[in-house]
Amino acid sequence: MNKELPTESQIFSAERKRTKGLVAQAAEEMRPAVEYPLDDFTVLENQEKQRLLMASRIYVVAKTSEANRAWEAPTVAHHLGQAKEALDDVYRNPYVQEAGIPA
Amino acid sequence: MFIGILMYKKLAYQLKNDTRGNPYEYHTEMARDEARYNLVLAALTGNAALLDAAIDKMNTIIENADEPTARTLAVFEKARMVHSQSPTQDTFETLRESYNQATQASELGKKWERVAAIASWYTIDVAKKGHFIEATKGIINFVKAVNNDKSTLTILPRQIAREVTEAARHKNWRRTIPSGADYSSLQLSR
Repeated sequence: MNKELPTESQIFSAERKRTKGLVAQAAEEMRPAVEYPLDDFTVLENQEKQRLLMASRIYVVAKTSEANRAWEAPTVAHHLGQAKEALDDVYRNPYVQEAGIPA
Repeated sequence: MFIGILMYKKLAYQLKNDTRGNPYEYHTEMARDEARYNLVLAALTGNAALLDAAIDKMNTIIENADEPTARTLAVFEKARMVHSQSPTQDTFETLRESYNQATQASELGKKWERVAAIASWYTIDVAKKGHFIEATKGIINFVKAVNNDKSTLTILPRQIAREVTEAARHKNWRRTIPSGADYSSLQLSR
């Protein structure tokens, strides 16, 4: 389990990469956010919540985009599986939803 | 029930900015991500119900979103889905109107990446249907976005490349699905 959230500058750098189409790099750099233990989401500072959710979004969007670009079905499924893990673990996490992120 | 709605509203509005203080509606953006996920999964599995799920999700977003760029983008994305499923004059008019609103809102919010993406999608969608004056409008908005944020320059070329290869990719996806593969575990719970 990762205990480090990406910093603000890492998030904006990953977002730039995603905008430029470097989706694999962007996803890799934001992976720590989706591996962050979410039991303590409610006690995080607002800035930390924002960083966690922004980074998770970059990860999900980048993974979905990687899936969409792939040519072989197993690769598509692999990337979608990784995106789904983040959707289940972060987006649909009860603590996240409690903080106002309804699925 | 009334208290429940108030609680929901209170909680839902806790996080409304990104880390730099810009408007950022997390629940809306995240719901859009889920809709896009469903679209790719629909293309992989050929499950049309996932397209309906994506449109349902867009309806929910449109009802609940407050931030103008997110709401107008959701309206535009839904119009794209509907027009792609049923390309009539009515759905085209809805698409055109939603495009104008989405680009205006994103330009006002100086969200140039969003303007570039919307303009790229629109340019391709309408050019495919032979609406070249509308496609020119899309290109003009795209150029405006690039002038304001150079990092958006590759968005339109990449979208075109994706569009050109889409049919072949999807055909190959279905050809390369291993026998006995079960992708039901990739479906999101409701």
